Amino acid sequence: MARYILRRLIQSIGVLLGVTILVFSLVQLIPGGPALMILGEDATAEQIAMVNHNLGLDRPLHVQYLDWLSKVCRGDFGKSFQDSRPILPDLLSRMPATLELLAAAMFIALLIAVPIGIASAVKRNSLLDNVGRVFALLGVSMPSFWIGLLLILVFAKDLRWLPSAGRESWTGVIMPAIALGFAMAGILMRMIRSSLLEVLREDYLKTARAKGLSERIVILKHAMRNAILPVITTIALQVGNLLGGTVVIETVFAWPGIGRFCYMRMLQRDIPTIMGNLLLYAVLVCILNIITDLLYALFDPRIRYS
Amino acid sequence: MKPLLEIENLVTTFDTEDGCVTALDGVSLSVGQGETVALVGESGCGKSVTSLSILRLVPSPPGKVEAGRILFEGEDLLAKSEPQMREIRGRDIAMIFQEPMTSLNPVFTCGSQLIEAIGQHQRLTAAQAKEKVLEMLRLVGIPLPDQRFDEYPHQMSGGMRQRVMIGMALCCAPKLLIADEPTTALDVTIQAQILDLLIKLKKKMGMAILLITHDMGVVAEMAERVVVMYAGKVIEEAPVRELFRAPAHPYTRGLLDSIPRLDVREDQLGTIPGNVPSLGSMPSGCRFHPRCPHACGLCAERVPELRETGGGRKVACWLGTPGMAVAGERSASR
Ligand SMILES: Nc1ncnc2c1ncn2[C@@H]1O[C@H](COP(=O)(O)OP(=O)(O)OP(=O)(O)O)[C@@H](O)[C@H]1O
Ligand code: SF4
Ligand SMILES: [Mg+2]
Repeated sequence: MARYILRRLIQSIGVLLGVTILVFSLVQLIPGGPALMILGEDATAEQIAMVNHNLGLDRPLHVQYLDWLSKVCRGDFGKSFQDSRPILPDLLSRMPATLELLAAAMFIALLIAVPIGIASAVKRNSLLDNVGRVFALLGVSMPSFWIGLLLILVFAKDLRWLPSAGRESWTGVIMPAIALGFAMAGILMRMIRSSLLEVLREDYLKTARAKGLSERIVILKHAMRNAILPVITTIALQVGNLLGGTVVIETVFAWPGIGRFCYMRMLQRDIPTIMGNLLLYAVLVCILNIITDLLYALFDPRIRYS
Repeated sequence: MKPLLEIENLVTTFDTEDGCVTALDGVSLSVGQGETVALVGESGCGKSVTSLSILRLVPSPPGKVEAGRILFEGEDLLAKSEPQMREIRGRDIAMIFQEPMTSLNPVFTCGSQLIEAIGQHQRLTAAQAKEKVLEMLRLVGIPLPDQRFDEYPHQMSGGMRQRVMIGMALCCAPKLLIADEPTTALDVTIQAQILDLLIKLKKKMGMAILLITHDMGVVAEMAERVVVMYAGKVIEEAPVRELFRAPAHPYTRGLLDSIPRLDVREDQLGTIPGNVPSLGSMPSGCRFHPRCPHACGLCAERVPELRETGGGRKVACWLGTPGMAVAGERSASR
């Protein structure tokens, strides 16, 4: 078990290193480079050379990369081109809002997916199963911002039940969470259904029934504890998508998280902030993946004891 | 012997893609109190469906018990409500399955799965339940039960798991144990150990056993009476010694001829020609007639009913009946 965790940790470090290289290279591809962005279109060659020299951009690439990496490792993500403030504190201060939205979206997705997924596996090809199937398809095929706009139209403009933007009251999170979680709900629902259908054929359920257990316990305890395992992996994979989705959803709902912040900085081509943001997302995904692996081990003794 | 379980004319069907198939077509058999009855027959003849029907655990859909009665201690199980059936499952009738590798839930400890079985039917404190489980594990011959209690199924060998299954089945001291091929999936040496264990436990606890198997050696070792099934029907029933001495049905004869014996070379072993008919395309008349060396015109036309032939024996075959004699002469004179 300890070795399993250690292995995953080392793998994560490898992944993060890869991400730093990727982020660094991507930024090199931006046309014009940072100097143009800072100085504007009609800068002279001397001015550009000057800025590049000040920023250290005239050094060889690998030197730049190692320099940047060593700073990043010490928590120095550099300063914003926009307002010259250190980047990391600005990102971290917006982190709670994003995490809150993520958690709420995940909660909504599970709230929708678990009961419908279970019901449609147990009552296969029933009306409910088919309705669930349609919803899953809708969830996957409708873009989340579109669901978001629809929700705003109905529940904020027409009915005036929920605030259309911001994080002032706790109700503010409801609509963005639904918009963000809906697609994930569809995927999870299908995953739970197929995973449970697989488990429903297992012999140990016959054993459980032969003991005299009620069908509810047979399904919810004996079958679900096994069916949930592949679902955990799916959740882990989906969290990355969800994180990407926050950029759009936070913008639509004026949610004060990292996503919206970075969207605005992206429009202004604030390269260091974007790099910092990408890195932070990568770290977040890695942490969530490790948590998922731990959860998986917690749920599956075959992994825990190998 | 007072019958503990009496099955009368049980019909179980499955709704499959190729239409509705009749897996059990009027199965009748009985098990006396404390008696061991073997249910034998080739793969697919309906042994497992029979056992699942008794506990009303046939997956539905697609399965359905269409007709018949299953009397347990005189009460029809088919008339019981689901909550009533749950009381009976595990407490009065318990079951063990063929595959010990997959019959235990991989994500729960063996101990907790036994505790669950006991807790379902008995009001015990946690400590009492655990004590009872440890006692059961000891009884089924599991070494270091305290340690095994907290182990997961994947940490045990097949034989150990089957012992756990047996312990789980017997923890509420059922009156009837249905053992569906309990040794088929195990190594030969382990098979013998598990059979010995069943014999020992049966002596100690006195439950009746319905033993499903296609191993005639197991039958000889354990059973008092044998019920032979073929293609969803019971075709012969007899005390075990009688059956081995003088099988009445040609199919049973074929089964006995195919047992490996010390005095017969492997290549001289009898085999039954042909294949088990599929449920979708049952032969008319006697279902065995396409494979039967004694078949005659009558066999293909009319279904032989299971009839008593004295000495506790029953057989479903035209051989030896007046109708057959006539038909037999006719075909002989041709
Ligand atoms: N869930 C099911 N759906 C459709 N048909 C089924 C189902 N379960 C059993 N059957 C049919 O019922 C027949 C009897 O099956 P059963 O499992 O009782 O055979 P068996 O005698 O136990 O064989 P084996 O020795 O292989 O265990 C089979 O031919 C099978 O096609
Ligand atoms: S009834 Fe006819 S075909 Fe069937 S087993 Fe008897 S002799 Fe053979
Ligand atoms: Mg079977």
